[in-house]
Amino acid sequence: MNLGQLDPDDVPEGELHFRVPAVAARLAGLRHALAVWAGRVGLSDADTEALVLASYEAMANTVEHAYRDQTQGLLDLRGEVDTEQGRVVVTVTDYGKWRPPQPSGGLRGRGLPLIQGLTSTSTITPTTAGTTVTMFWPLPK
Amino acid sequence: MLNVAGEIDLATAPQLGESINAAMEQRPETLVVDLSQVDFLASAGMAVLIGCHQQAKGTIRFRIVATGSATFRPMELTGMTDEISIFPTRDEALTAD
Repeated sequence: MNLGQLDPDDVPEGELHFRVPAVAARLAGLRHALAVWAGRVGLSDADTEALVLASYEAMANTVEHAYRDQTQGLLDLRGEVDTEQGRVVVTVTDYGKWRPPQPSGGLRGRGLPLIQGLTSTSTITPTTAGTTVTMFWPLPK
Repeated sequence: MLNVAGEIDLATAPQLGESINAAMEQRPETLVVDLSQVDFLASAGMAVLIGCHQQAKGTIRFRIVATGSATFRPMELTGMTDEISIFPTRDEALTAD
């Protein structure tokens, strides 16, 4: 199955980049690819699990909220190793609208707290062109 | 007792909700949802569990079995462990008052 991996020649060695339609059915495959990649770049099992869940939540957020007014949009998932800073960086980018979490009686809105709990550092950058969630995990020394 | 296995994510969470609702329609005194065999739990799945817990309030004792990093930790990180009774084993879930 082609998960949406870009032409290997365009993706630098050791990095991961998928561009897929933002639909729920695509996310399980991306999650599994991320787990393999995180293990390969040397993250511990615990950090790999955290990275996979946090990245999934960021992608799920895009699928559920970013393109509500449109039929379909794209999602970019990138994984990079920043050897200088000794960390792994995952970014999830959409090209839709950022929607602040809405109160819903404790039912929803667990995705962002989960991301914050699973990463050492994370940032959300909403712009008029879309939203990028950036998450970091330290590489083992 | 409801056994759940595999991955609970955005795509599969509705199925989990249907299974729990079907079990609740039997009006058991206690309903235990065992997540011991679940290796991935996303917030979409947690939302379903919270919804069922709220629905069960006052009529069915709703309990979850979960342990370990794939299920218990995410629920702990989001504060869900303060809202729902979660037990490390089935025996404890079934015998607790």
